[in-house]
Amino acid sequence: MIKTRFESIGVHLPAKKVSTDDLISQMTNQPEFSLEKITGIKNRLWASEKETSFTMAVDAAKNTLKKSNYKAADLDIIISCSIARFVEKKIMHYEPSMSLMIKRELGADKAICFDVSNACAGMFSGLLILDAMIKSGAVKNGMVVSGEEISCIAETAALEVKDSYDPQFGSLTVGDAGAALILDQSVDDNDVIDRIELLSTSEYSELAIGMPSNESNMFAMYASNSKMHSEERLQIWPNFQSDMLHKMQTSFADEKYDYIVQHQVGMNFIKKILKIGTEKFGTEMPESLAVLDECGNTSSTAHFLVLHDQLEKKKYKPGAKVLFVPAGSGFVTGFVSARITKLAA
Amino acid sequence: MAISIKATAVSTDKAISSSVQHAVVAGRSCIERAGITPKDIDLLINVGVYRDDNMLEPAMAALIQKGIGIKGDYVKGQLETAAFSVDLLNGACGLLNALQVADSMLKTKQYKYALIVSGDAHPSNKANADFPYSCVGAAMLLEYSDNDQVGFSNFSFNTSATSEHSVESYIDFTSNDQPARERLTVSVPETYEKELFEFTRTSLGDYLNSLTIDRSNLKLVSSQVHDGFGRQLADSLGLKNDQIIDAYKDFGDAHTSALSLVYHIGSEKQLYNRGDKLLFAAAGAGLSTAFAIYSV
Repeated sequence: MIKTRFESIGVHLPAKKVSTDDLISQMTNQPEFSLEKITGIKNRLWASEKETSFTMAVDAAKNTLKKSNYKAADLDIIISCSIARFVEKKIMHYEPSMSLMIKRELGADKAICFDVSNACAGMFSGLLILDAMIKSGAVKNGMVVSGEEISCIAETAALEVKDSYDPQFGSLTVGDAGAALILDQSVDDNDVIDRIELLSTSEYSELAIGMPSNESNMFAMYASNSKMHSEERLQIWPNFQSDMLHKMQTSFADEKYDYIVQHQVGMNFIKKILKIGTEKFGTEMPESLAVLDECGNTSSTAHFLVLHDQLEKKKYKPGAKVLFVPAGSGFVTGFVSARITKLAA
Repeated sequence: MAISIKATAVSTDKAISSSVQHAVVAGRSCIERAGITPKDIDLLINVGVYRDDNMLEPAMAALIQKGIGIKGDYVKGQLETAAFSVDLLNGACGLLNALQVADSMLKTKQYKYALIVSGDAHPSNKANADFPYSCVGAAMLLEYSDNDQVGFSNFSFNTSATSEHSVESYIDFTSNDQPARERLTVSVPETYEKELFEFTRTSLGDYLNSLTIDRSNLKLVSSQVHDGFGRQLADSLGLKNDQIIDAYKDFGDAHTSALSLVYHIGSEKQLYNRGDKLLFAAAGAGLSTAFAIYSV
């Protein structure tokens, strides 16, 4: 059975940051408590006037190719996975696909290309698809990329939020970034993606809706965070993963994960879901990695900023096994586990 | 070993103005026609591009999944209650990308059925003279078959060197012309139809030359870019041309639903018989084309 691996990784981190204090100071109705204390977010990455979904995706893709054994012309497929697709500032594209624009910019002449949209689980959805396409033999390698320019919803929230119960309140946590990964066939057990399993529990699909605000003439996110992050909802991940592992005649403890990366929603969220994980799996959680304090929640790119940060700072133990837990509107969750040895930032 | 079509359905009721609703109606009907239930679906891919209210998230597939009633919540201890849904966007070619993806996923994961749905509508959910696509939906149910003689094969995807002659569509937030939830620009260059036809003819010609296949017996299932697009294509490439379905007259450019719609009409007319070879040919923005052979 063919398995895949992370062959290379690259990111684009905007130089500009907006602190939680700065964002709060711009709010029409400021909260009576410390947002930074609740979320653990001091700063969020923020696209400049020259950075868009497209430029960040292209830059992340180029940075990935620099680390890769493949050239752009070798790529069999490019899957672009961002939520918003700003090709120019304030111009959100539908057609042609952003993946085609990225393909042309990179010179990936033979690559199949399409966009995938699945909220914050976009890159994981791209990975699920690409993993299956490599295993089936449809392609030999491919790139999953996302340029996530989503801070516009934080700007809208700053203008429109009435109080801390406002459905736009959670939008204040987001940041912008690009991330890209190249996958190909694994050649040994030291670099291998063990499992990619996702599920969509559509009963909760209306709990978080991103669409334009007619009032502010920009995208906004309307979410019921208390319902999205209820204990019942957060149990879907451990319930699903423990059932999958049981079927594969293994368990969370037996898998011996070294690290866990949760979605970078906020520190309290991460603490809560790890506590649920400990209870449901009946074992201690592995070391939890995060970058949300300095990056914010960069939605579809969040988990891969964490991985890149660890590799770049040489904190990632070669050969360690990492568990990613996606969480996106839809409601999409699941688990992705990989052993990583040679991957470099 | 490939995926084959178990059932198709369309949603063309003019009273429906929502892209999600069109996809839901087509999806439900397709599942019913196949004699299965929504609980049997493991993978849902939505290839519709234009969304109600310009909604960005969740995936429209999640809302469609809920509308159809496919495994809405996970029940502990019951892995069969897990389904995955996702939006795949590539304009008129999206269906063929989704078919290739579904083929890979049904081969490598323990999924039994994949449902590909589509629906397009102007974001205002009102008729709009500047919106060139018809407000319809379609669904195609796929299953995996061990029989080598049936199913989709030979996927091919092609893009032009530049977007010079392409349709471009976007929401312009620098404007304040209409409410942002209802705003959409679809810019169609004058050269679009002619250049798209030429690109399709050329790339399809290369594709057919690369296959050892009798093109005079290939039954065409094509995009409906304009009136007569399929017939012109068949004539220019020597394809079987006595059974061309021209859905444009009745439905206009059904965009992401066009191929499913054409196949559905042909299937209803019993034009496709065991052993037939169908040529699926999609063409749209990019410029992009996508082809596959379907063995009935």
